[in-house]
Amino acid sequence: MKKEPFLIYISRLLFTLAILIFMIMLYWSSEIVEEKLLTANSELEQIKKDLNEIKANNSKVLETLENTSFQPASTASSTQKANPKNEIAYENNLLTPDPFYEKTLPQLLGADFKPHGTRREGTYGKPDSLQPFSNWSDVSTWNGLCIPTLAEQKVGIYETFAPSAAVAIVIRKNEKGQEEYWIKLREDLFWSPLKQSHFGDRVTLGPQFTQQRQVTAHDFKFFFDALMNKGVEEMLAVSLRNEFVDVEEFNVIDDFTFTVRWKSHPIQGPDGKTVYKPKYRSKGLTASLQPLPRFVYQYFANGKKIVEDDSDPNTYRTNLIWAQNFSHHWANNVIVSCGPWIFDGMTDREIKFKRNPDYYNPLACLVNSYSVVFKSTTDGVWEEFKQGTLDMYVVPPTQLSDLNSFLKSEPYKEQEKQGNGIKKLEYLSRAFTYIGWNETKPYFKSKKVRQALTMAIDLKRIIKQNLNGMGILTTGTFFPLSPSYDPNIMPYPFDPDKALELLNSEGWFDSSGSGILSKEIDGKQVPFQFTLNYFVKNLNSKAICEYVATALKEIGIQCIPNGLEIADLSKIIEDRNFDSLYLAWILDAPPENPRQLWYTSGQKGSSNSIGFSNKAIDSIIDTLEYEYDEKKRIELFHQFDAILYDEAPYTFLYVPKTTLVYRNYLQNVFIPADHQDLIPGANVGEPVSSIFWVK
Amino acid sequence: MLNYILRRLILLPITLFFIILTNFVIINLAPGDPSTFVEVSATGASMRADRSTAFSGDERYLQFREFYGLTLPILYNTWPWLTKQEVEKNLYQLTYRKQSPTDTEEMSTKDYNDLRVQFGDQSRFIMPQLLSIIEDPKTPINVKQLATNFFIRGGSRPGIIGSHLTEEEDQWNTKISKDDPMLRAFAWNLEDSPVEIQKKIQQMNQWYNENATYYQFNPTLSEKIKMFFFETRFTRYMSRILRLDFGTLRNDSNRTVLSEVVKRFKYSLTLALFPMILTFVVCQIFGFIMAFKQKQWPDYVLNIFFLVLYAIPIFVVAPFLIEEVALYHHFPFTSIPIPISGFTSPDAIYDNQTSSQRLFDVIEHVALPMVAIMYGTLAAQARISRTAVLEVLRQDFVRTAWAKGVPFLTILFKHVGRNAAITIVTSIAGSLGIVLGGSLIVETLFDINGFGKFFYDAVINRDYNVIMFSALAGSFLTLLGYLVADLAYMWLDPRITLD
Repeated sequence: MKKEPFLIYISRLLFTLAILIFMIMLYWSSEIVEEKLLTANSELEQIKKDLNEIKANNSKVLETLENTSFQPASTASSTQKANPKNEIAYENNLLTPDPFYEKTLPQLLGADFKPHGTRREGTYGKPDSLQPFSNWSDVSTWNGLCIPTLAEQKVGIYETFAPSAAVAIVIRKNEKGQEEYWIKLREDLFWSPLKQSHFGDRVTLGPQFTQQRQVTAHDFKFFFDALMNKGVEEMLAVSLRNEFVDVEEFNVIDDFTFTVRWKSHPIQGPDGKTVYKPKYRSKGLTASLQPLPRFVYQYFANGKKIVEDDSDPNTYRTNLIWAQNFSHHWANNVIVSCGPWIFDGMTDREIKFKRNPDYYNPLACLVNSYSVVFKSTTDGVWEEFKQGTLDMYVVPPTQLSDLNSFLKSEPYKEQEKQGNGIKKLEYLSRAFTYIGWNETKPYFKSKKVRQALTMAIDLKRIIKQNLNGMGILTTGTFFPLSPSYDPNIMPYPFDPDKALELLNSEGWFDSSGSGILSKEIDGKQVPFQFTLNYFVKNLNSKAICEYVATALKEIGIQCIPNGLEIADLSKIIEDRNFDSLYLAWILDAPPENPRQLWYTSGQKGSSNSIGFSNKAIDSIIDTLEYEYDEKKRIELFHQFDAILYDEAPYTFLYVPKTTLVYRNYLQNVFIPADHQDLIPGANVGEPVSSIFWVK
Repeated sequence: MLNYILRRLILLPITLFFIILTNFVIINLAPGDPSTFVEVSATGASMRADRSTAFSGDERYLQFREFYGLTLPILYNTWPWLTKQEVEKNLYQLTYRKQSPTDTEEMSTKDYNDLRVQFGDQSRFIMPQLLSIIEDPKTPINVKQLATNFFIRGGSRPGIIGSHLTEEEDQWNTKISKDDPMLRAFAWNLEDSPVEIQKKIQQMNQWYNENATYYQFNPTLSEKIKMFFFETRFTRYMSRILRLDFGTLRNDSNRTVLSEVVKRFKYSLTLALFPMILTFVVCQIFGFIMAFKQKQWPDYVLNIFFLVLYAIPIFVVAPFLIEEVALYHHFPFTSIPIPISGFTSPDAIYDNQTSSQRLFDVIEHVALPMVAIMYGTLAAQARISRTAVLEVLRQDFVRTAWAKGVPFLTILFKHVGRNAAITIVTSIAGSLGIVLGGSLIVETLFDINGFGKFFYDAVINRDYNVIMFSALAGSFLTLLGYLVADLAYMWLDPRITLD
């Protein structure tokens, strides 16, 4: 091989070294420039913030000046002003102020309190969109933070109404003598402007979206129209549409007043006379109306109207093209806010909110910012909580031992020393887990068989072994702490002998000696064999279903647990193509409406997928719709409980107990029902996160 | 060689076409629907008791299905050829929930729903048949009513979404929004008076005659043949693919599949390509050590070590790494805590970092995931490499080189290394497609938003566009990988020629 002369070798080496050093220097200098740029950038941000603050202060000063000189207040989009003729008589206001916000909370917080700090939580999974009608429960919650409803529930007490977006809701009679709700909105509610940074490069915002707008009655009408438009297929809209279908008229009187008239039905009054009343839930449903920003959802991103000619007042209620564009709207990944919280961006990792300093109730939000991190596993959320980056975490029963060992570990002791201890709070979840027996299948038709199945399963064992004791027995479809739940009904006992007796009386015998019961149906011997479907990814569900299979095997029933992925599970429920089903229901807040679950199936969107049908139950549900008397309502609910218990359409397994763990800097974490001293008459059994603050 | 490459490149699209075809049919035939309503939380699957569930029937997710072209048949469209008798039979089944008048058993909800949905989708191709059934005085009134509903369904068409529409598209939208309320008004109830019903039927007839040409209700034979091939899901999909339009996400039509993939590219590339290259280098080193020290203690120790490593599944290693290595611990000799999740620090911190800080930030975050991804392949590849090196070491030319007194390093790199690499290249090049597959378990556990999780979720959610893209891009990369491997053989081993 030819050797290179030494000199050339050295000079080449030196040259390479020089280039390398040059490159490093170049990088170094660019790094310095970059650092300076970053500093400049953050300073610019600060200046921008200061400028915004000055602007806000200026507008406040201007507003005060205008008010003192009796000039009409200017609004961005207002065309009709509040008409004095439409003034509502406030003495009959259905909304009353919440004493908790007026007295109790200011006392709890002290005179010097100023909202501060950040709250961080974690959630499992990331929502695909923030669509106002998304069925994702987290999205509904976040929309609720940013968009107020007409009235809000008083802290800790169900079925109470305090003013929120509306200052007054009164019932008036129209010329025809029909009752209608008159709603007076507050005039100091504003949509915060959209931010280009929330959209990235996909969308370029027109200038009209970056201005503050007043929330008006037209936004509420727009919400209602969107809800009722059959082209809007989002799940929440479909389900709310079923509820609001009874609204006969929705009239905007002026920018801050509108009326809602519900269909009236004749019912027997206390004096025996026929009176016309809207359905019992109409008040709560009306109060739950919220605004939908017209200035966003009626437009394309470039500022062009989706429907050019929308002069017809029913345009958005009927127009198909608008509905389709709404489902694919460019602003579906932001929440246009006017509530106590303002949406502050969503990335693949987290969603952020900041406090709305201009919101009418300064105590509606007691921290400066709030963020929710998306994690792809529940374990991921747990790890983050352990590290101390999250404020709170709901511990599933299977993780309780993990929690206990963490509380004894060295790293935790270190955290505790630094004042980051963990507190625990246990309460009942508004949910229940059940096994539903599909009554269209021949073996589940008889109620005795269903009762037998319930008696063959040791529910106490499930709670003790699978849930670490984190659950209680339940006998019906209502929340055990609700007055609708009849506490006098005792759960079916665990009694396999009695179960077998019941099955024998229904013609199920072990005639072949195989250990499996069978019965002659349509001339054929049918063995008692069925599948039990459950969500495969949850280990606890799997363990419980396997136990159920073992327990049923004891009395000669072959139950085959069948774990399914979520899409397949949805599909079989929708098609009612299953034998039995292990699932949970999340219960709504009172007033309970059992129609969705128990009314004889047939109506669109019913959740009565097991094909349950009982005339007495149907009649109670129908009566409840128009029954206003509290006592009678409870009586009806208890009758309902008794029938359902006897029919045993489900095996009601348990109501889970939630273990909430939170860092001790989080304040006001308590269960209202346990603190009658603070909230007299409180009946909510879960902590209220809107009153949390950070020490 | 050029000839060979050209031939392979021509074969590529043909192979891809058949891959798309097969995948498309399988995906579309798989059970399940691209819509779910069950919620999943830490406590399991649950539903909200106060919300109505998706209701079955021909109207279900109509807009959604129209938008994604799911209302069309999969491969070929024979619906325009449906006869009046067939339509009548279907209507009978739907009205009476029975297969035939002699049948005693009711149809199951599933069969009934499937038929109803399919018949709803067919209705736009059978408008004349439906109208003649409605107008036929012999048709029972309840069948008539159902036929009217399907007539309305068949007449309704989806609008075109977006703001940049051509004049023609604008006109189409205007026509649709005018026709839609009109069509809905044709619906009648069984309680309505015969006069009223008759009036509505007349209106339907009039509307049909006015619009038959515009909506192609009564296609000619050539139009029918065109529909046979073109009014299908597959043709629609292919025509988009040819324009390199891979569609949008199922739940958010504002985000295209391509943009989402590009967004995740950096994560998966880092987690797939770097470990691949690193594995290649490291496994060669260990392979050499084991081969040169064959049947001595380094060979035994390394062999056992890799065997054990190979046997431990990743779902054990990853949580172990998180729980025992990362949580509350620091990188050795530093005070930098080991991050347990994510590809970078939170945005608020990361955005304010300089580029070098960002680089270190990423390295800190991917260190553990890299280990989790690499250990298994490293163990396997090192053992393959050992065998390959041993095989080459026994070759005559190596013995000759030793005898000739060629320096050790030259033998190592030039004679042995290059030849042994062929085996490794085969096994690594074939796995190029895996880049796209990502590493589901590692991505899930370390919360990295890469391809693995993206495609897995797509399969679970029945996001057809994403699944198809993953199949398509995966196969493309695999095919490309094999081509590259073939070329690499040639470069590594001059004895191989491709001509």
